[in-house]
Amino acid sequence: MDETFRAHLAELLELDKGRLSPETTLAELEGWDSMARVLFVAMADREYGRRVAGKEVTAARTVADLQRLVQG
Amino acid sequence: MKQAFANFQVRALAAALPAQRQELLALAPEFNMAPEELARILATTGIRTVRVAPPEVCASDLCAAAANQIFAATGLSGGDCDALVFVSQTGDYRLPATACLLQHRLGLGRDAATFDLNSGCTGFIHALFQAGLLLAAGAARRVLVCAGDTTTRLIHPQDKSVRLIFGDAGAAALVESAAADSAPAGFTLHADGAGAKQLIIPAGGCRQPATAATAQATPDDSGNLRSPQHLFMDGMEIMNFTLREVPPLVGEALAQAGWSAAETELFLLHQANKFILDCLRKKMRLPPEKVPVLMGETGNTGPASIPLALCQLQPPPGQRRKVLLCGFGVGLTWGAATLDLGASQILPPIDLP
Repeated sequence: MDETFRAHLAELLELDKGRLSPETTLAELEGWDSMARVLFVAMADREYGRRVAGKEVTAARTVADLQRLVQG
Repeated sequence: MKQAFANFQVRALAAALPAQRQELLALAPEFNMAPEELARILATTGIRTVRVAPPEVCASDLCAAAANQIFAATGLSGGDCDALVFVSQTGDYRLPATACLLQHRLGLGRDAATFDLNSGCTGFIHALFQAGLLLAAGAARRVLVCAGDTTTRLIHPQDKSVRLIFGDAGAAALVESAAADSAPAGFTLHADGAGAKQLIIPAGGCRQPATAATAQATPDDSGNLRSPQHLFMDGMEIMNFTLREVPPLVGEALAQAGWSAAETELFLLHQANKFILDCLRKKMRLPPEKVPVLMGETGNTGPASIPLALCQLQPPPGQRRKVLLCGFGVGLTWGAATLDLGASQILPPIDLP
Protein backbone atom coordinates (compact mmCIF):
# COMPACT_ATOMS: atom_id res chain seq x y z
CA MET A 1 0.00 0.00 0.00
CA ASP A 2 0.99 3.60 -0.52
CA GLU A 3 3.39 4.51 2.27
CA THR A 4 2.34 8.15 2.44
CA PHE A 5 -1.28 7.19 2.85
CA ARG A 6 -0.36 4.66 5.53
CA ALA A 7 1.57 7.35 7.39
CA HIS A 8 -1.33 9.83 7.20
CA LEU A 9 -3.82 7.25 8.43
CA ALA A 10 -1.53 6.06 11.22
CA GLU A 11 -1.02 9.65 12.40
CA LEU A 12 -4.74 10.30 12.35
CA LEU A 13 -5.47 7.16 14.38
CA GLU A 14 -2.47 7.65 16.67
CA LEU A 15 -1.38 4.11 15.87
CA ASP A 16 1.89 2.59 14.80
CA LYS A 17 2.08 2.27 10.98
CA GLY A 18 2.79 -1.42 11.39
CA ARG A 19 -0.80 -1.97 12.54
CA LEU A 20 -2.14 -0.95 9.14
CA SER A 21 -2.21 -3.19 6.11
CA PRO A 22 -4.63 -3.01 3.19
CA GLU A 23 -6.77 -5.84 4.58
CA THR A 24 -6.97 -4.44 8.11
CA THR A 25 -10.65 -4.04 8.97
CA LEU A 26 -11.57 -0.66 10.35
CA ALA A 27 -13.88 -2.19 12.94
CA GLU A 28 -10.86 -3.77 14.69
CA LEU A 29 -8.99 -0.45 14.98
CA GLU A 30 -9.76 1.05 18.38
CA GLY A 31 -9.08 4.57 17.15
CA TRP A 32 -11.60 4.40 14.26
CA ASP A 33 -14.41 6.32 15.94
CA SER A 34 -16.71 9.12 14.74
CA MET A 35 -13.99 11.68 15.42
CA ALA A 36 -11.49 9.71 13.32
CA ARG A 37 -13.97 9.74 10.44
CA VAL A 38 -14.19 13.53 10.59
CA LEU A 39 -10.39 13.74 10.75
CA PHE A 40 -10.21 11.45 7.72
CA VAL A 41 -12.49 13.71 5.68
CA ALA A 42 -10.31 16.69 6.60
CA MET A 43 -7.15 14.75 5.76
CA ALA A 44 -8.57 13.78 2.35
CA ASP A 45 -9.13 17.44 1.61
CA ARG A 46 -5.80 18.65 2.93
CA GLU A 47 -3.48 15.95 1.57
CA TYR A 48 -5.31 14.80 -1.55
CA GLY A 49 -7.59 17.71 -2.47
CA ARG A 50 -10.45 15.19 -2.43
CA ARG A 51 -14.00 15.64 -1.22
CA VAL A 52 -15.03 12.33 0.35
CA ALA A 53 -18.72 11.99 1.24
CA GLY A 54 -19.60 10.83 4.73
CA LYS A 55 -21.57 7.93 3.24
CA GLU A 56 -18.46 6.66 1.45
CA VAL A 57 -16.43 6.75 4.65
CA THR A 58 -19.15 4.94 6.57
CA ALA A 59 -19.30 2.27 3.84
CA ALA A 60 -15.54 1.61 3.99
CA ARG A 61 -14.70 -1.70 5.69
CA THR A 62 -10.93 -1.90 5.28
CA VAL A 63 -7.90 0.31 5.12
CA ALA A 64 -7.74 -0.44 1.38
CA ASP A 65 -11.30 0.91 1.01
CA LEU A 66 -10.19 4.16 2.64
CA GLN A 67 -7.15 4.42 0.38
CA ARG A 68 -9.36 3.97 -2.68
CA LEU A 69 -11.46 6.94 -1.54
CA VAL A 70 -8.50 9.29 -1.88
CA GLN A 71 -6.44 7.58 -4.55
CA GLY A 72 -9.04 5.72 -6.58
CA MET B 1 -26.34 38.15 -1.61
CA LYS B 2 -23.79 40.94 -1.41
CA GLN B 3 -24.41 44.35 0.11
CA ALA B 4 -22.25 47.16 1.42
CA PHE B 5 -23.68 49.62 3.92
CA ALA B 6 -22.15 53.07 4.12
CA ASN B 7 -24.16 53.95 7.17
CA PHE B 8 -23.18 51.24 9.66
CA GLN B 9 -21.23 51.42 12.87
CA VAL B 10 -20.95 48.92 15.71
CA ARG B 11 -21.12 51.19 18.75
CA ALA B 12 -20.63 48.47 21.34
CA LEU B 13 -20.38 44.71 21.84
CA ALA B 14 -20.95 42.66 24.97
CA ALA B 15 -21.40 39.01 25.95
CA ALA B 16 -22.80 37.16 28.96
CA LEU B 17 -22.20 33.59 30.07
CA PRO B 18 -24.04 31.42 32.59
CA ALA B 19 -21.77 30.92 35.59
CA GLN B 20 -22.09 27.12 35.75
CA ARG B 21 -19.17 25.31 34.14
CA GLN B 22 -19.05 21.75 32.86
CA GLU B 23 -15.52 20.39 32.75
CA LEU B 24 -15.71 18.00 29.81
CA LEU B 25 -13.00 15.62 31.07
CA ALA B 26 -15.22 14.92 34.08
CA LEU B 27 -17.74 13.33 31.69
CA ALA B 28 -15.47 10.32 31.03
CA PRO B 29 -17.33 7.95 33.40
CA GLU B 30 -20.70 9.08 32.03
CA PHE B 31 -19.53 8.18 28.52
CA ASN B 32 -17.87 4.94 29.63
CA MET B 33 -14.54 6.21 28.39
CA ALA B 34 -11.07 6.07 29.84
CA PRO B 35 -9.96 9.61 30.72
CA GLU B 36 -7.04 9.34 28.27
CA GLU B 37 -9.45 8.46 25.47
CA LEU B 38 -11.64 11.46 26.23
CA ALA B 39 -8.60 13.70 26.66
CA ARG B 40 -7.52 12.78 23.13
CA ILE B 41 -10.87 14.00 21.77
CA LEU B 42 -10.71 17.20 23.79
CA ALA B 43 -7.20 17.89 22.49
CA THR B 44 -8.61 17.75 18.95
CA THR B 45 -11.71 19.83 19.57
CA GLY B 46 -9.80 22.26 21.77
CA ILE B 47 -12.82 22.51 24.07
CA ARG B 48 -12.15 21.70 27.73
CA THR B 49 -15.09 23.43 29.43
CA VAL B 50 -18.51 24.68 28.42
CA ARG B 51 -20.98 26.91 30.26
CA VAL B 52 -24.41 25.48 31.00
CA ALA B 53 -27.44 27.66 31.64
CA PRO B 54 -29.59 26.48 34.55
CA PRO B 55 -33.24 25.69 33.74
CA GLU B 56 -34.49 29.14 34.68
CA VAL B 57 -32.07 30.93 32.34
CA CYS B 58 -32.86 31.34 28.65
CA ALA B 59 -30.84 32.80 25.80
CA SER B 60 -32.89 35.98 26.15
CA ASP B 61 -31.68 36.37 29.75
CA LEU B 62 -28.07 36.11 28.64
CA CYS B 63 -28.66 38.60 25.82
CA ALA B 64 -30.49 41.00 28.16
CA ALA B 65 -27.53 40.93 30.54
CA ALA B 66 -25.20 41.73 27.64
CA ALA B 67 -27.51 44.51 26.42
CA ASN B 68 -27.65 46.04 29.89
CA GLN B 69 -23.88 46.00 30.02
CA ILE B 70 -23.86 47.97 26.76
CA PHE B 71 -26.38 50.48 28.13
CA ALA B 72 -24.32 51.01 31.27
CA ALA B 73 -21.14 51.51 29.24
CA THR B 74 -22.63 53.87 26.66
CA GLY B 75 -25.10 55.79 28.83
CA LEU B 76 -27.84 54.78 26.39
CA SER B 77 -31.02 52.89 27.17
CA GLY B 78 -33.55 50.66 25.45
CA GLY B 79 -35.57 53.75 24.66
CA ASP B 80 -32.73 54.95 22.42
CA CYS B 81 -33.04 51.87 20.19
CA ASP B 82 -35.43 51.93 17.24
CA ALA B 83 -35.36 48.22 16.57
CA LEU B 84 -34.38 44.94 18.17
CA VAL B 85 -33.21 41.87 16.27
CA PHE B 86 -32.97 38.63 18.30
CA VAL B 87 -31.18 35.74 16.62
CA SER B 88 -31.33 32.32 18.25
CA GLN B 89 -32.61 28.78 17.93
CA THR B 90 -33.64 28.68 21.59
CA GLY B 91 -36.23 31.40 22.01
CA ASP B 92 -38.32 31.64 25.16
CA TYR B 93 -41.51 30.37 23.51
CA ARG B 94 -42.71 28.98 20.18
CA LEU B 95 -44.60 32.28 20.19
CA PRO B 96 -44.53 35.17 20.83
CA ALA B 97 -41.19 36.18 19.34
CA THR B 98 -38.51 36.64 21.96
CA ALA B 99 -37.69 40.05 20.46
CA CYS B 100 -41.06 41.25 21.77
CA LEU B 101 -40.26 40.01 25.26
CA LEU B 102 -36.91 41.78 25.10
CA GLN B 103 -38.53 44.98 23.77
CA HIS B 104 -40.64 45.09 26.92
CA ARG B 105 -37.89 43.99 29.27
CA LEU B 106 -35.25 46.38 27.93
CA GLY B 107 -37.62 49.34 27.67
CA LEU B 108 -37.71 49.91 23.93
CA GLY B 109 -40.53 52.14 22.78
CA ARG B 110 -43.81 50.77 21.43
CA ASP B 111 -42.89 52.08 18.02
CA ALA B 112 -39.83 49.85 17.87
CA ALA B 113 -39.55 47.21 15.15
CA THR B 114 -38.83 43.77 16.59
CA PHE B 115 -37.71 40.61 14.78
CA ASP B 116 -36.68 37.11 15.70
CA LEU B 117 -34.29 35.42 13.31
CA ASN B 118 -34.04 31.64 13.48
CA SER B 119 -30.39 31.05 12.79
CA GLY B 120 -27.45 29.40 14.47
CA CYS B 121 -23.78 29.72 13.72
CA THR B 122 -24.25 32.22 10.88
CA GLY B 123 -26.78 34.06 13.05
CA PHE B 124 -24.67 37.01 14.10
CA ILE B 125 -23.92 37.83 10.47
CA HIS B 126 -27.61 37.52 9.61
CA ALA B 127 -28.57 39.81 12.49
CA LEU B 128 -25.98 42.46 11.71
CA PHE B 129 -27.14 42.35 8.09
CA GLN B 130 -30.74 42.93 9.20
CA ALA B 131 -29.59 45.86 11.32
CA GLY B 132 -27.74 47.22 8.29
CA LEU B 133 -30.88 47.06 6.17
CA LEU B 134 -32.87 48.98 8.80
CA LEU B 135 -30.20 51.67 9.00
CA ALA B 136 -29.74 51.90 5.23
CA ALA B 137 -33.45 52.41 4.70
CA GLY B 138 -33.41 55.25 7.19
CA ALA B 139 -35.97 53.36 9.24
CA ALA B 140 -33.73 53.19 12.27
CA ARG B 141 -30.83 55.19 13.68
CA ARG B 142 -29.96 52.61 16.29
CA VAL B 143 -30.57 48.85 16.35
CA LEU B 144 -29.99 46.47 19.22
CA VAL B 145 -28.84 43.05 18.03
CA CYS B 146 -29.16 40.17 20.49
CA ALA B 147 -27.55 36.84 19.60
CA GLY B 148 -27.54 33.78 21.83
CA ASP B 149 -28.43 30.15 22.38
CA THR B 150 -28.86 27.65 25.19
CA THR B 151 -27.88 24.80 22.88
CA THR B 152 -27.08 22.52 25.83
CA ARG B 153 -30.84 22.16 26.17
CA LEU B 154 -31.15 20.79 22.63
CA ILE B 155 -28.69 17.94 22.95
CA HIS B 156 -29.00 14.46 24.44
CA PRO B 157 -26.61 14.14 27.39
CA GLN B 158 -25.42 10.80 26.02
CA ASP B 159 -24.55 12.17 22.59
CA LYS B 160 -20.79 12.74 22.64
CA SER B 161 -20.82 14.22 19.16
CA VAL B 162 -22.54 17.35 20.45
CA ARG B 163 -22.19 17.23 24.25
CA LEU B 164 -18.45 17.81 23.91
CA ILE B 165 -18.93 20.75 21.55
CA PHE B 166 -21.77 23.09 22.47
CA GLY B 167 -22.00 25.64 25.26
CA ASP B 168 -24.44 28.39 26.21
CA ALA B 169 -23.94 32.14 25.81
CA GLY B 170 -25.66 35.37 24.86
CA ALA B 171 -24.28 38.51 23.25
CA ALA B 172 -25.47 41.93 22.19
CA ALA B 173 -24.33 44.51 19.68
CA LEU B 174 -25.50 48.09 19.40
CA VAL B 175 -25.43 49.15 15.76
CA GLU B 176 -26.03 52.73 14.71
CA SER B 177 -25.73 55.30 11.96
CA ALA B 178 -22.15 56.11 11.16
CA ALA B 179 -20.35 59.37 10.47
CA ALA B 180 -20.19 60.29 6.80
CA ASP B 181 -16.54 59.38 6.32
CA SER B 182 -16.72 55.96 7.99
CA ALA B 183 -15.59 52.83 6.21
CA PRO B 184 -18.50 50.86 4.74
CA ALA B 185 -19.60 47.53 6.19
CA GLY B 186 -19.71 44.72 3.64
CA PHE B 187 -21.91 41.64 3.82
CA THR B 188 -21.95 38.40 1.81
CA LEU B 189 -24.62 35.79 2.51
CA HIS B 190 -25.26 32.28 1.19
CA ALA B 191 -27.77 29.55 1.85
CA ASP B 192 -28.22 25.97 0.66
CA GLY B 193 -31.12 24.02 2.06
CA ALA B 194 -29.84 20.88 0.32
CA GLY B 195 -27.77 20.43 3.47
CA ALA B 196 -30.69 20.91 5.84
CA LYS B 197 -30.52 17.41 7.31
CA GLN B 198 -26.84 17.78 8.28
CA LEU B 199 -27.67 19.98 11.27
CA ILE B 200 -31.23 19.47 12.38
CA ILE B 201 -33.71 18.72 15.12
CA PRO B 202 -36.08 16.51 13.11
CA ALA B 203 -39.11 16.44 15.43
CA GLY B 204 -40.95 19.06 17.43
CA GLY B 205 -41.83 21.41 14.60
CA CYS B 206 -44.78 21.21 12.29
CA ARG B 207 -43.19 18.83 9.78
CA GLN B 208 -42.85 16.05 12.37
CA PRO B 209 -44.70 17.00 15.56
CA ALA B 210 -43.41 15.84 18.93
CA THR B 211 -44.99 12.61 20.13
CA ALA B 212 -44.18 9.98 22.73
CA ALA B 213 -42.44 8.09 19.91
CA THR B 214 -40.23 11.01 18.86
CA ALA B 215 -39.10 11.37 22.48
CA GLN B 216 -37.50 7.91 22.37
CA ALA B 217 -33.71 7.96 22.18
CA THR B 218 -31.87 5.32 20.14
CA PRO B 219 -28.14 4.78 19.68
CA ASP B 220 -26.42 5.57 16.38
CA ASP B 221 -23.52 3.57 14.85
CA SER B 222 -21.07 5.31 17.16
CA GLY B 223 -23.07 4.58 20.28
CA ASN B 224 -24.33 8.14 20.65
CA LEU B 225 -27.86 8.36 21.97
CA ARG B 226 -30.41 10.81 20.64
CA SER B 227 -34.08 11.08 19.81
CA PRO B 228 -35.63 12.91 16.85
CA GLN B 229 -36.28 15.77 19.31
CA HIS B 230 -32.57 16.26 19.90
CA LEU B 231 -29.99 18.12 17.84
CA PHE B 232 -28.28 15.98 15.20
CA MET B 233 -25.05 17.08 13.54
CA ASP B 234 -23.45 15.09 10.68
CA GLY B 235 -19.81 15.68 11.60
CA MET B 236 -18.29 14.49 8.34
CA GLU B 237 -20.63 16.38 6.07
CA ILE B 238 -20.38 19.58 8.11
CA MET B 239 -16.59 19.27 7.86
CA ASN B 240 -16.87 18.83 4.09
CA PHE B 241 -19.26 21.79 3.84
CA THR B 242 -17.02 24.06 5.91
CA LEU B 243 -13.85 23.22 3.99
CA ARG B 244 -15.66 23.62 0.69
CA GLU B 245 -17.49 26.89 1.30
CA VAL B 246 -15.63 28.99 3.88
CA PRO B 247 -12.38 29.68 2.01
CA PRO B 248 -14.22 30.89 -1.13
CA LEU B 249 -16.56 32.94 1.07
CA VAL B 250 -13.62 34.68 2.73
CA GLY B 251 -12.14 35.37 -0.71
CA GLU B 252 -15.46 36.78 -1.86
CA ALA B 253 -15.79 39.02 1.20
CA LEU B 254 -12.25 40.33 0.82
CA ALA B 255 -12.81 41.07 -2.88
CA GLN B 256 -16.04 42.88 -2.09
CA ALA B 257 -14.29 45.01 0.54
CA GLY B 258 -11.26 45.57 -1.66
CA TRP B 259 -9.01 44.21 1.09
CA SER B 260 -6.04 41.94 0.73
CA ALA B 261 -5.59 39.16 3.25
CA ALA B 262 -2.37 40.85 4.33
CA GLU B 263 -4.06 44.12 5.28
CA THR B 264 -6.97 42.39 7.02
CA GLU B 265 -6.13 42.43 10.69
CA LEU B 266 -8.48 39.79 12.02
CA PHE B 267 -10.37 36.84 10.60
CA LEU B 268 -12.92 36.13 13.31
CA LEU B 269 -14.46 32.81 12.29
CA HIS B 270 -17.39 31.18 14.05
CA GLN B 271 -15.79 29.34 16.96
CA ALA B 272 -16.97 25.85 16.07
CA ASN B 273 -13.95 23.91 17.39
CA LYS B 274 -10.18 24.19 17.26
CA PHE B 275 -9.69 21.45 14.68
CA ILE B 276 -11.89 23.00 12.01
CA LEU B 277 -10.46 26.48 12.58
CA ASP B 278 -6.91 25.13 12.21
CA CYS B 279 -7.91 23.32 8.98
CA LEU B 280 -9.50 26.50 7.62
CA ARG B 281 -6.59 28.69 8.63
CA LYS B 282 -4.07 26.41 6.94
CA LYS B 283 -6.24 26.04 3.85
CA MET B 284 -6.48 29.81 3.54
CA ARG B 285 -2.76 30.22 4.36
CA LEU B 286 -3.41 32.71 7.15
CA PRO B 287 -1.09 33.29 10.10
CA PRO B 288 -2.32 32.04 13.49
CA GLU B 289 -2.33 35.48 15.10
CA LYS B 290 -5.02 36.60 12.66
CA VAL B 291 -7.34 33.62 13.23
CA PRO B 292 -8.23 33.52 16.92
CA VAL B 293 -9.17 30.19 18.50
CA LEU B 294 -10.96 31.09 21.69
CA MET B 295 -13.64 28.48 22.38
CA GLY B 296 -11.56 26.40 24.82
CA GLU B 297 -13.52 27.36 27.93
CA THR B 298 -16.88 28.18 26.37
CA GLY B 299 -17.43 25.74 23.45
CA ASN B 300 -19.45 26.36 20.31
CA THR B 301 -21.98 29.00 21.34
CA GLY B 302 -23.82 29.32 18.04
CA PRO B 303 -24.86 32.88 17.12
CA ALA B 304 -23.07 34.29 20.16
CA SER B 305 -19.72 32.78 19.22
CA ILE B 306 -18.38 35.63 17.08
CA PRO B 307 -19.29 38.53 19.42
CA LEU B 308 -18.21 36.45 22.44
CA ALA B 309 -14.84 35.82 20.81
CA LEU B 310 -14.36 39.56 20.17
CA CYS B 311 -15.21 40.26 23.81
CA GLN B 312 -12.78 37.56 24.97
CA LEU B 313 -10.05 38.74 22.60
CA GLN B 314 -10.22 42.48 23.46
CA PRO B 315 -8.18 43.51 20.39
CA PRO B 316 -6.68 47.01 20.74
CA PRO B 317 -8.72 49.65 18.84
CA GLY B 318 -5.90 50.33 16.38
CA GLN B 319 -5.77 46.65 15.42
CA ARG B 320 -9.40 46.19 14.47
CA ARG B 321 -9.89 48.60 11.60
CA LYS B 322 -10.25 45.78 9.05
CA VAL B 323 -12.01 42.84 10.61
CA LEU B 324 -13.62 39.98 8.69
CA LEU B 325 -16.32 38.07 10.57
CA CYS B 326 -17.42 34.72 9.15
CA GLY B 327 -20.26 32.46 10.24
CA PHE B 328 -21.18 29.02 8.85
CA GLY B 329 -23.54 26.27 9.89
CA VAL B 330 -27.14 25.29 10.22
CA GLY B 331 -29.29 25.82 7.16
CA LEU B 332 -26.93 25.29 5.70
CA THR B 333 -25.91 28.91 5.66
CA TRP B 334 -22.64 30.77 5.46
CA GLY B 335 -21.94 34.49 5.52
CA ALA B 336 -19.29 37.10 6.16
CA ALA B 337 -19.06 40.73 7.19
CA THR B 338 -16.16 43.13 6.72
CA LEU B 339 -16.17 45.82 9.39
CA ASP B 340 -14.19 48.68 10.87
CA LEU B 341 -14.44 48.07 14.62
CA GLY B 342 -11.85 50.72 15.49
CA ALA B 343 -14.35 52.95 17.27
CA SER B 344 -16.40 50.16 18.84
CA GLN B 345 -16.54 49.60 22.58
CA ILE B 346 -15.80 45.89 23.03
CA LEU B 347 -16.66 44.98 26.60
CA PRO B 348 -15.20 41.99 28.45
CA PRO B 349 -17.58 39.01 28.88
CA ILE B 350 -19.55 38.85 32.12
CA ASP B 351 -20.94 35.91 34.04
CA LEU B 352 -24.62 35.82 34.84
CA PRO B 353 -24.75 35.36 38.61
